[in-house]
Amino acid sequence: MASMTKRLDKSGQIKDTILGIGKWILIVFFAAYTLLPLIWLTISSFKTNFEVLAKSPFALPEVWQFKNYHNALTVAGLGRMMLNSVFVGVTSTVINVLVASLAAYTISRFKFKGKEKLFLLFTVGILVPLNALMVPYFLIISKMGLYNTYAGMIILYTAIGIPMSTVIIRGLMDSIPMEIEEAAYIDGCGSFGRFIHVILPLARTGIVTAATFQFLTCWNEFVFANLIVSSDKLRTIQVGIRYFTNQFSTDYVSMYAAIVISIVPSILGYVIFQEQIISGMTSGAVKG
Amino acid sequence: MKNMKKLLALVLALLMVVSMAACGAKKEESKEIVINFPCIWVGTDAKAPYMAKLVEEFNAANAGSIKVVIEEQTDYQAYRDKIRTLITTGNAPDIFSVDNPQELANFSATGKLMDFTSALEGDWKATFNDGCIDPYIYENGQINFLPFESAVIPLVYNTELLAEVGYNEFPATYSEMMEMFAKLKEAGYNACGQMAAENAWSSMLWYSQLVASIGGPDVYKNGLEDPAFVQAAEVLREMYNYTFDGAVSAAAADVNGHFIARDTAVYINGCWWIGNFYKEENAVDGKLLADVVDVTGAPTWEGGKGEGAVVTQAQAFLCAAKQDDPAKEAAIIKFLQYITEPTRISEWEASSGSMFFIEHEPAADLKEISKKFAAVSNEANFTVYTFAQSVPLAVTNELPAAVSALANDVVDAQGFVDMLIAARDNA
Repeated sequence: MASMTKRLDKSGQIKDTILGIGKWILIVFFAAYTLLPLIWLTISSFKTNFEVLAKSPFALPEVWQFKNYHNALTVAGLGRMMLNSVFVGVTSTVINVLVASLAAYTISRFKFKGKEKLFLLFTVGILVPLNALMVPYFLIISKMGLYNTYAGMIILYTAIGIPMSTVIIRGLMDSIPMEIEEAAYIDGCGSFGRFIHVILPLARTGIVTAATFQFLTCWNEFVFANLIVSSDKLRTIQVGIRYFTNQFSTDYVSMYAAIVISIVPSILGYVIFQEQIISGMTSGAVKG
Repeated sequence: MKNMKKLLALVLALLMVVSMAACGAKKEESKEIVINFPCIWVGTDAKAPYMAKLVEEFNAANAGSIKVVIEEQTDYQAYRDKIRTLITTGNAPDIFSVDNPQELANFSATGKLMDFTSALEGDWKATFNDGCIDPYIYENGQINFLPFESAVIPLVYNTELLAEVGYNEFPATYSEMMEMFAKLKEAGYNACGQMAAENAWSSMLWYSQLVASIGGPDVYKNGLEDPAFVQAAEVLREMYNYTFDGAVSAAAADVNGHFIARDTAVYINGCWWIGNFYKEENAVDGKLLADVVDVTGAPTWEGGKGEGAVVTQAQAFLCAAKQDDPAKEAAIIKFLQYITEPTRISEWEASSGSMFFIEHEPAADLKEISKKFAAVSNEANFTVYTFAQSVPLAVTNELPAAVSALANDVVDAQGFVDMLIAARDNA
């Protein structure tokens, strides 16, 4: 009996070890899959163009070319563009989550005719490719007199992000028990008060997730940034990154340096808000 | 209540930020005429330094009355999208360029473009090559497009790499060239640069050269049913065996990058790229790219109808938006006349290697490679426009997908041509 228990213990240990190894293989695989391009990009941003194209991709540079970063910041004027991106991104993110939260609250907590159809309309907005909307969006922006203004970009980005933000925030609001809101109602809280005091704090993680997506959308968007702005003073970072390329030649290394610079704020933002982002994503994932 | 106040304060603050942002870019009242010019000859483009110089000089000479503002556009596709959107919505920029003649008829039909007819009545028209303007006059009878940049597209090869595999001269026929490609591959080099992403530019040029060499000067008149298109596709497929890894998803800049890095032996592109042969940043071991390359016309296709064919291209047309203000129209024409003035064109040619539709004396300091490009053009038995400029727009748009399918063996040469024919017929 004792030897049988011992054998079972041993086979359990083997199973655990195999599972543990399998788990680590998966983790290492996905970590490598995610990190290797970033590592390659960072190493390449210190090389010469010749080294990038003709030498081993993961070889270290013969001489570390810090001037690529100098080029990125001075030739393309990335500093100003980065500030523009931060301003446009932050402002449109704040407005976006504000509007989307109100929309999500209404759809999630109130019963009215056509509610799901309304929500479907929001969802459809996610599916429409942005390039297909170039002409109508441009017309709206130019008719409003907002061509070549920060406001044009802010309003446009706010609008294009509302469907996604509404879907994310609604998902989280749906998971908040009605009883909590009912308790606030009994205590005399109106609908706006319940939204502010009860729903918003509980939906915080979803709002942060939506805000993260919205900010990244603004930060990485190029087509409209190029379309609705003509002044160098208003340009955002994605336009700057393309300064190093044209149809027939590319200064790869300066462009890579510009890309590395451009992803730093996104990584910083993720590091600061990772707790909220992860919990927002997972709470949405387990919602029944 | 406190939170509600905070929220209201936040909303009001945001409204103020947005309204201030809207005011931020408003221009002050001024008598100076400002001409907006979204321009692709900026950044790393070979014509960028001279373009910048011209604008600076023009603005200095017209200080207080006219100011040309360059809007830097480095991404060709984004530039095309932007111009198309601006024209479609009735917001054509003051000055811009178009690189695809197939779009001109549509742009002209919008009625939003400036008619240069009266401006050209004086001496200005005589500065353009004979007959180069008329083919681009469309239904409204207006001259909306000034042919500006032209191009000859020969083959350029790395003499050092060819010498390594035993060639001191470029092969005379395509079959000899393919033998050489095999030797280059064996020696560890990419024989040629191909790419199927974006507009499949480099593969399109190789294909144009093959089609012309096989099918002769009338090949496009015969339509895509001419057997030359299938034969050319067979060779194009074979060329993909001798290019760099990942060519199917590569862009034109990648092809150029490999040639600059000296790991690709044979290169095809237009003369607008000549400036890059002399750039210090493209030097390797102290040798400029110009020091290790030579230029040749296309090899002969044995039994083909197109011996001595040279591919050319209308690379850029200058255009302007129709103006309500005669003073602004005059200012725009003044600037266009300034940049197309023959002595400036000579300087532009010398500094960038580009060729133009404008009559001018060759510059005394014309670069050696520019002379070789010109020699190939002069020695041509006939010239033919690139495939992209000789077929309907729908076929040009289908080409990248067809090249990708061909290179990945999803279709054979006949299937490749069938895809193009289907695109033409469905348009």
